[in-house]
Amino acid sequence: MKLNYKIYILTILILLFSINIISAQTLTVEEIMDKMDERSPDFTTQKTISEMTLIDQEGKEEVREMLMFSQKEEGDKTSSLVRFLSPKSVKGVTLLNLKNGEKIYLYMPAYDKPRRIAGSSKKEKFMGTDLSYEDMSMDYEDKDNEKKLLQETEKEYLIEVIPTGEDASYKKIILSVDKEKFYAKKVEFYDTSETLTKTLEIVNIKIDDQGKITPMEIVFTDIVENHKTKIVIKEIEYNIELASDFFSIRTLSKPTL
Amino acid sequence: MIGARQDSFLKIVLNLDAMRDTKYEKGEENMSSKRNIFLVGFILVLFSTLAAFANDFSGSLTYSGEYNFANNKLNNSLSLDLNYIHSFTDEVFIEGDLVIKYTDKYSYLNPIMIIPKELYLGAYDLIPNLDLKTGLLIINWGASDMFSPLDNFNPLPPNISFTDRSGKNGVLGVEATYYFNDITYLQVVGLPHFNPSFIPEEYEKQLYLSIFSPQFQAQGIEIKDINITHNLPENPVWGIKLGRSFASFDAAISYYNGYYFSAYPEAITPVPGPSGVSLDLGLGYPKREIFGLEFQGDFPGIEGATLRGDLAYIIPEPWEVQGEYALKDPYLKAAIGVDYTTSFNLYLNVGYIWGFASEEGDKCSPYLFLNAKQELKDSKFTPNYLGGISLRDKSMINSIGASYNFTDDFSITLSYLFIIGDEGSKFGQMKSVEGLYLVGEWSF
Repeated sequence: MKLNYKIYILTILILLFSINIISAQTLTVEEIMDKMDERSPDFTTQKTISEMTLIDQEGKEEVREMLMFSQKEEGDKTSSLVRFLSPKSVKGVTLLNLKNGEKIYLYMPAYDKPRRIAGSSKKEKFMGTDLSYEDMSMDYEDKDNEKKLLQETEKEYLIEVIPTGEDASYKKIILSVDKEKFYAKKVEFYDTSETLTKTLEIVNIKIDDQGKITPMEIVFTDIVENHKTKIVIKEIEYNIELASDFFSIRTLSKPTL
Repeated sequence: MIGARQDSFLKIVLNLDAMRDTKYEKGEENMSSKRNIFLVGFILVLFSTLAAFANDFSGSLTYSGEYNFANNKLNNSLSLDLNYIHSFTDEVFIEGDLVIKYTDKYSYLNPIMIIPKELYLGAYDLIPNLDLKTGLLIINWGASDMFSPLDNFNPLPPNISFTDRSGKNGVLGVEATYYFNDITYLQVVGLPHFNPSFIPEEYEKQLYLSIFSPQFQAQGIEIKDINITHNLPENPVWGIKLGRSFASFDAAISYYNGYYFSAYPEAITPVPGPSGVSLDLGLGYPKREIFGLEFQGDFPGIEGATLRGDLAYIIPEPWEVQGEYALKDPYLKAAIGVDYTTSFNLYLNVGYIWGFASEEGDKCSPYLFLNAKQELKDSKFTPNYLGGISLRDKSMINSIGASYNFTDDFSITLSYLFIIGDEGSKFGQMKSVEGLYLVGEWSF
């Protein structure tokens, strides 16, 4: 099971939601992050249908379609439920991620019962993708992370984020923030030896009437593995009504969502 | 993480392999071949028709070829598995699963089988926090990946697979699950009637003749025929389970009240007749109660490993056959496994089993199983190994193979299955399953 790419992509999406247009005057990193946050859609729940394309080093592609629900929880945590819609061989496979990976469950129709994934398995890849369970639950905007403005150019800010978690997979993350629209156009991930291992780029965005920015196409690149994952958002809805127990094992095995 | 689809090739045939007809006459074989071609054509036409309604149906078309070393014969199977789900409202839905299968493997069985696996009505929240399913159900209890001793509602198929659970037969019943909150639930399952394992009549006759003929021969009695009567229990089967999710693991305790799936002799009477002595054999199904504990979660001390296990304390109805107890005292069965993926994408699943599927009472013995699968970088080729060893007599069953995913929806798996051990050993008695196995599966 491989899902590392997906997790990064989801993370990037979250970052992209957080961008804002400001004047050319110098801002502090906190002000930049606040601007990004202002430009991100206000929502507590979200539903998306997206298409994910896995591209290997020879350029061969595998396409998967996913339905995803997510909800912001207490303490800046997020719960999500992802169900594969295609290809047929994995249709119905569902991943439930509670509160940033505190508990992770996998449902496969062939087994017809939830399988809990050990917390220590979060780095494993999911369902033939390059995204890990951990990637699915990352939140690089975590207020506990250290942030520093590295550089300001004509078109962008470069911000360094230092993850503070004890078991963080990355030494640092560098965001390239668009100075006009205030969204993270690119994210670079450096491993614990400070080697650039992965990047995430926002290729296409949608700006709504209120100036809120939604990333619609994201490309995640694993530099070490020479793999790419492209995610295209086909449909997105905010603040949909979900039952209070939607993010639970009860929902996981329901044939229809 | 179990690749059920990729591992479905490995079926350890406990019973029905002995039914392979090695005495086919030429003429019968030709007639059978024509009929088989017609039936295969029928499945393909049906599949094509249903494919036109692809939005309503999903499923798979699977070819299984098996070259058996024991009789140097190639057996072929073609199976169409159709799944249908329709939602009437957000809370009420119907789900059906139908299998249409052609096989030339078993001479005692009709080569074409139409098997309704599931057909049930499901409802959520008609009563707040209550999920209901009623109809023809597949019920899955237990957390372990293979041979859970707690999974006792659906009769087993005639052959047993380590990982392919699609063979379980549906049973009429009701499943009700009440959720006290997000992490605690109570589940009740009720079946109005007991459903035993299916054994073809002719095979069953031959089986018991081979068991009892030598006994009566020793007394100077030649058994010419056998008349078998099945005495099915009339009481319903039911079970109740209380489950809860904890910080690092999930656990559930359960109680099952039902019967053994396999029949036990209860009355054996030789009856003299004009053409010799026949045997009247009454078969019954002993009652059993099972207190269970299932759990899954972090494996302490091994980062990245998930522990899954089932423990069963079984209280059998004492069952005496010819002065000896086949079942008497309570006993334990267990299936405990750990799955782990290495940094280089080697998936390992190691399981310890006390009491194989066919072992009960004091016949239970220990086994170790290993399922290993290596994901190769930028390759659609996946080598795998699946095997088990009896810790009692050291006999082994091994399957070495590889799968190749041509597309996301079409894969082929080739494997070589072999046994190590004497003929009378735990796995040695399955020598007849040695061979090459080829499975092609198309999901749609």
